[in-house]
Amino acid sequence: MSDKRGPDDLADDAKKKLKVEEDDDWAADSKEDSDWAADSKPSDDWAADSKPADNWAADSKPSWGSSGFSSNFSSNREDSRDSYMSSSSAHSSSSSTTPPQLPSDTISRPEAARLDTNSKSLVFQQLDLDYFVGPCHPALSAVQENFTPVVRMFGVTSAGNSVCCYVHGFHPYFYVAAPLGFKEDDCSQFREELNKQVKLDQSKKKEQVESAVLSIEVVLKESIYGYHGKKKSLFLKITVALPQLIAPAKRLLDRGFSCGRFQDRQYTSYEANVEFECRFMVDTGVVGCNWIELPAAKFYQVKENNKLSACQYEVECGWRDMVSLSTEGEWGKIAPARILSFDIECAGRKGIFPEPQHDPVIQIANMVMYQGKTEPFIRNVFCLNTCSPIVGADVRCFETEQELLKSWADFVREVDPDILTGYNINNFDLPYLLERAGTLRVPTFPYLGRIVKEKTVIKERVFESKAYGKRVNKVMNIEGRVQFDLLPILLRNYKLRSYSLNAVSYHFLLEQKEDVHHSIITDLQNGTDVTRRRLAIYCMKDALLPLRLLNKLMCLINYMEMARVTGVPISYLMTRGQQVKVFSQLLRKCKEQNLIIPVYQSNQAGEMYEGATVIEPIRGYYDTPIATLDFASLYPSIMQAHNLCYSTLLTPAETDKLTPEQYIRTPSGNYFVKSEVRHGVLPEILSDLLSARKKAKRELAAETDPFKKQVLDGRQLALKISCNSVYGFTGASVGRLPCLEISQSVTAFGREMIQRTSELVEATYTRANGYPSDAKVIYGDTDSVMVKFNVQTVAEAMKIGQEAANHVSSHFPDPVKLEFEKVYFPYLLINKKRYAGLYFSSSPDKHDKMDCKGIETVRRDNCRLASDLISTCLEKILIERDPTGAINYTKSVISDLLCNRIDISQLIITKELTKTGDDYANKQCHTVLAEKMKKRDAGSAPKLGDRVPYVIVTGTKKDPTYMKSEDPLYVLENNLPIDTEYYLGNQLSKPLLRIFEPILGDKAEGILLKGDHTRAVTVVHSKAGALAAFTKKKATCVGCKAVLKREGSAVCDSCKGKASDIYQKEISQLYNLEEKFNRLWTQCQRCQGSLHEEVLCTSRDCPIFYMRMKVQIDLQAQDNIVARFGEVSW
Amino acid sequence: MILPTAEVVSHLTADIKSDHLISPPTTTPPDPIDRLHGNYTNLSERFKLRNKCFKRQYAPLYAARLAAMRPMLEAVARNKWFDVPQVQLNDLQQNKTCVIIGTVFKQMQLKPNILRELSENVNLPPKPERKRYTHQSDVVFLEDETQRISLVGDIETHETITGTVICAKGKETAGGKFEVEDWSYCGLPAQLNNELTEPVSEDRYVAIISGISLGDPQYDPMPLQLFVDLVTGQLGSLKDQTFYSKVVRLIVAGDSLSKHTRDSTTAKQAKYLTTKTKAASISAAQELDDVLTQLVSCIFVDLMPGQYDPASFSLPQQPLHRCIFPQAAQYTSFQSVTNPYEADIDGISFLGTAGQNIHNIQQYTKLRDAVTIAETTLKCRHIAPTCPDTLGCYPYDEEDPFILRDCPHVYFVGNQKRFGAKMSEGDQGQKTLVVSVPKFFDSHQVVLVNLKDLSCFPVSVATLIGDDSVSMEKGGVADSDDDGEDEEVLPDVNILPDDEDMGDME
Repeated sequence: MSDKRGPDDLADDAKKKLKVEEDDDWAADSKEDSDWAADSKPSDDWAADSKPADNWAADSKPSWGSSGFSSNFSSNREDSRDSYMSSSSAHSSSSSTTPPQLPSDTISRPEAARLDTNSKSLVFQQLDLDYFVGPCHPALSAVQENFTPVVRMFGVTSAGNSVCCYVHGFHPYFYVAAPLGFKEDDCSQFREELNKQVKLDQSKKKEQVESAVLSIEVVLKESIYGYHGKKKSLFLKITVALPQLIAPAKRLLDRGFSCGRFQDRQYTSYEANVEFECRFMVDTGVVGCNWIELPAAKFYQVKENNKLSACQYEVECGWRDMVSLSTEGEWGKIAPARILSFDIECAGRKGIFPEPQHDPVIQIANMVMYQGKTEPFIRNVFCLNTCSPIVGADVRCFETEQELLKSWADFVREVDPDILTGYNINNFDLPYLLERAGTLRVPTFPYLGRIVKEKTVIKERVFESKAYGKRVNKVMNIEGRVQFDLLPILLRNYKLRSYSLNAVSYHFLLEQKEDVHHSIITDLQNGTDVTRRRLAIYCMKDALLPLRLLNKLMCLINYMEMARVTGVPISYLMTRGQQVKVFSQLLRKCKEQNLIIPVYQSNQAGEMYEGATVIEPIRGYYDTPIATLDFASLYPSIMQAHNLCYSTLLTPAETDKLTPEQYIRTPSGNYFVKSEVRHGVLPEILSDLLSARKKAKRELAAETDPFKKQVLDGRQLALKISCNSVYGFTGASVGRLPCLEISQSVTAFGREMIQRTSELVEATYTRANGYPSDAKVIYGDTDSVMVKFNVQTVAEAMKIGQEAANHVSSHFPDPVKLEFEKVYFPYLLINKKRYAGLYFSSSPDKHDKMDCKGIETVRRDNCRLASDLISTCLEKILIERDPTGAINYTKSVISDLLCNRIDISQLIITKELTKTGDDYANKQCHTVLAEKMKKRDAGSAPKLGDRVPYVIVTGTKKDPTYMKSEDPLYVLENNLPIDTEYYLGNQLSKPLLRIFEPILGDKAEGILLKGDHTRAVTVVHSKAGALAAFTKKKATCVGCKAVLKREGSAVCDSCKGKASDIYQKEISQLYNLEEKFNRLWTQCQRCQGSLHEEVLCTSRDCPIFYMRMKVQIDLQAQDNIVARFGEVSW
Repeated sequence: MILPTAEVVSHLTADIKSDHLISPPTTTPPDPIDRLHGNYTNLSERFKLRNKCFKRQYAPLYAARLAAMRPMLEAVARNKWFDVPQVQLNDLQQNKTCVIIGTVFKQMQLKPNILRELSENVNLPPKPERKRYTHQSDVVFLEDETQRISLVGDIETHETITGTVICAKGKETAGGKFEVEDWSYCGLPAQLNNELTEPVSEDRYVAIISGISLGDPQYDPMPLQLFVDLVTGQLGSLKDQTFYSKVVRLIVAGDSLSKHTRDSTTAKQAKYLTTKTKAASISAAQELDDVLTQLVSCIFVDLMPGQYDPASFSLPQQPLHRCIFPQAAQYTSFQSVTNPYEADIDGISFLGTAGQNIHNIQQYTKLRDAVTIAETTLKCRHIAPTCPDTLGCYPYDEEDPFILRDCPHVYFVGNQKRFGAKMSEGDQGQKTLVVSVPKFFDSHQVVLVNLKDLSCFPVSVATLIGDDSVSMEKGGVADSDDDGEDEEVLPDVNILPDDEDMGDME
């Protein structure tokens, strides 16, 4: 990059940030995806499958590109590639199906074949789609302006070449209802007036256009909201020059706009809240990550000198000329995209978390892999200072950090990845690198995107939702590369106890890695080339694990399929909520049916409506098979069966215009027309999704290729999730288009159906009807009922359950279907949404799993002891059918707890720190502890967003619990006594009583929580605390604990005779501890992969992390006891 | 089972005619036979632990081992391969022949993994200990101070031992592995000849017994009592008595108590159930005290702890505490020693273990024969190389006491399946008698080593009642399922004639 740049960098950044905010203008009006999952009645049905949406405050895809054209840096970046070099046949005619031969030893992409635009089409999979504002293309655009939106698609061909495609000529538009009497002739005057006002309004803006409002058309359309007797009405389609002009135009028309004879009117606007990219994709039929064909002779290749991007092919075409290929069939495949996973290490100062203003980046490890492969083909690590070689990896050493950063940025540009991944790269690695490069003034660094002159800048976005709490996220623009950070994806899709890379890897891959605390990293860096090598290995593993996880969890494929199904760019799936996905589908459907969607002005106070129903459980332990009948996709099928949609909604007044046969009244008292009158849009979307899912499942069953199988499985999953989010969309009171009439009708139908099912089953399967006994519905929830048929075997229950499902289904309209899914035997019904049972579905002879709902085994805010104890008890009760064994086990665990024999990792409770201590009205354990730890060592203290692990230690009686929370490591080091009473009373007793009460009845508490096993208690003496310094321990007899008269002996006079016995007991204890010590520490050595180096790992999520600390302490103590017996002389 | 009148023989009572016990009564008391005594020095001080510290890891031990052994291996490599350059793994260059020196580490899939055990259900009964942990997927690594590299080529994976320090000649392949052409241990250390002690000119014996296994449900007290009576001169002919008077010392090489006295469940049981329980070893320990008391009244006894004795777990095991033996401890002839144990007896240096080092190698390699393994540990100059990886060991800091400083004259390993002996010779004329001492419980054998010429032979005591002896021989091979795997089966030596040079098996 040019040397001219430098000191101005930061100033430039500031400007850009400002710029971006302006661009957001139009979006500020339209409330974005909100946390409707939390606001509206949560329903298990869809909430379980689809994740709650996030609440991005003022969230919209900013157009980064806008300054790209106006800025005047000189481009010195040499493009060494010459796309005219090779004369071999042009790539990718659509018939070629042979997999491309990809080079494995070079860093750059495979050479791009020469493009013959006149006779060969260009086909590529687009992965990222955005737009920028630039001058109009002379040939491809009807309008000639200095500023026009150009859609930019980045992608890969099936030969692995990168493509940047500019699509010209598409302009943003929206609709307003035409005033009565509006004629074609009024259009031009309307346009001129609106244009004038918009330009006036926008006069201070940088990008000035000749005409802001390009055209006004009178069109016949229909609003989707409400049934209007299928009558179309007149609307004005207002096309504007730039996306950011929609908001002011809409605002002006909303407020009251005068034009000719239409004085001071307010216009209701439609579809003014559609993002420009979305508008483009809907109108051209492009969906996220699909393949695009540019037919021969319909596109231009940008001349080498004029290229703006670093892509191998840079092409332009008109928006009507490009062809969007269907994701079905051949073009369902996925291009060999390049995935770069990286991880950085920083050398922080003692006690302070690394800050880019002060602390150097010392290593960057990189792994590059092709999508669809399992192993990376590039593995390297950039190191500051020397580093010993690593077998199988390319170690690049640099003397200065500037060189390191510069070379890394060069490396990224050379690799030219389509997808950037890593663990927490968006909130740590990338911003750190960028800020560090800014501090060190590495001018060429922040150009990581594919648009050569586009500088990557960081922007902060506050993210707050009821479900996730408050977070500050960093957002960076890296044009043409999808930022696929694995951490937020895991956060959204999996419920785990810990989200550290180590814990996640252990959970999914059963692989651990050494976890080096950042305070040690500096020491390793300042050591020798050997210690730096160690760091490099650690760093490389951190870069490799995200790739492994990506493959194992198929995140990328699933996200691509979701993007295809819902039609939004893949980047939306990471930064946006649920609503945009449904909205995109709705827009597509409406376009087909000539409907338009009103802009909904959200009101924050959401109306409430009644949720799903629950049939009161008959609690108890059932030792007979319980059949479970489920409605398959209950809410989607209700919407289909009853034709519930915006477009079929009737106001009570309008019912007069129709005959009673033409509409229905839902149980919640709302009216909808029947599908004979008008088929709803939502039911149609749903039936499309469902049939697509069926098809995908069929293909999945027939497919043999494992990779295609993954794609299809990802697709059917995406379809299922999308299906379930439609109901949520209508219920989101602060959403894009909520319609409580629909959502409350859905839940009302659901309640009615559950009730009806229950009645039907109980009425049909009776002794009177010739069945062995009267069936009884013991519990029902949302979409399922549990029936006790009083049969003896699982096989019988399966048979009768199947029969009942068919019988009941016949009473409901299509496509509602009651399915028999599973039998629980035995079944422990504790309460609403709390039950456990052995789950039989496939075979009557073998259970598939033990199914636990709402019981502490799965809850994360409990300590592991509670969940392990409960799940073991359940196993003993359900699988082994041994309630006595469960009771004895419980007693022994409680005894162990009281005797300080429980591993501390079992007692740890973790909570996420979402606000700092001051923000909380009530003090809580984890916030108080975080403050306390900050005072001890600010560097290692938990930060916002971290999960804080703590244990409860004893305090004085009056101390509230939050005062007694303590860092587990501190507890171990100082031998603080655990508050066993807290654990017994607050963590164990409730869940234990819950599962044992159905079995033991009222005696449960007496049996479990009192008795012999609670009497042996070990008292621990703390080494810390105010009194510890003043206490003096007196030696007691090892045998009877009596205070010894003489120091220096092991046993008292009365125990002397039994000295041998006492000694043997103690030495046996020592033996066991030594064995444990040996096994734990050798395990850590094996895990770190080295014998000669100390284990440094501080992975708190490792199951043996605390154990190995405790064994050191216990062993030392036990050895001291044994030593009191005296040394053995020869 | 055993009748009081049972005919009792030792293998030495071939000459029944001169049996004093059934000779006609005489009025002259027999001449007293005095037990011979030898010079004795205990050399095990380095295995004693004081001021133990457990705030450590194992890395310093490995580092100390490599640091101590590197110069020796460098010399060996220079000798063996002359001018082939010796490099550190950091400086390896592909396809360039060189010599590397480092610690062997075997990555083994079946190695017990405490992490895996924890993540599996906590409450499942512990998996039975496997006999062998070898698997075809095992990989050998060589690790020096800088890094590790996997070894391929001319090196038998299943015969390498984790923790041994070796030198290897070969080159790095393109795949980042080291292709071994030849490799070597550092060989036997030099042997000290104690100039101060006069060589023994008469027959003097050291007896070694191991694996008495008191407290085993199948324990039969008779064979041990027979042995005690024999060695204390209360049994047998005059010839026997004369012979046993030449036994100057008895070494009890571990596992005097059976594994049944080690109650591993107590550790896992809740404390409220165990507060009143006693250690399972108590009655067996008392029995041992009784036996020892009989012995030490007549003979010097060195008692080593073994895997199942009431002692520490880690090697070096510390001496069994004297308070366990309130009677025997009264005698100065009783000595409780460490395991491993080293002593000089009449100028002959003895080094021995209770056998854990050998068992552990058997579990993690395909090596089977105890004598061969023991000899290998001599060659690699390390008594217990698998410490600490799979064998418990104290976390030493900056020293490794298991490295052989000098070559012992006798190297014995206790608690083996059967007797075996071999005179192992080093390049510099070192001669070490390697002895595998069988478990007494199974074999009813005690091993005698003659200090005069280092000849060595087992002594069997047997009760010959009908078929009992036969059944006992059978029972002697306790883990017979293992035999099929053994590459070489040593002939079981049952009765050895009175001939003195029989035991010397070379």
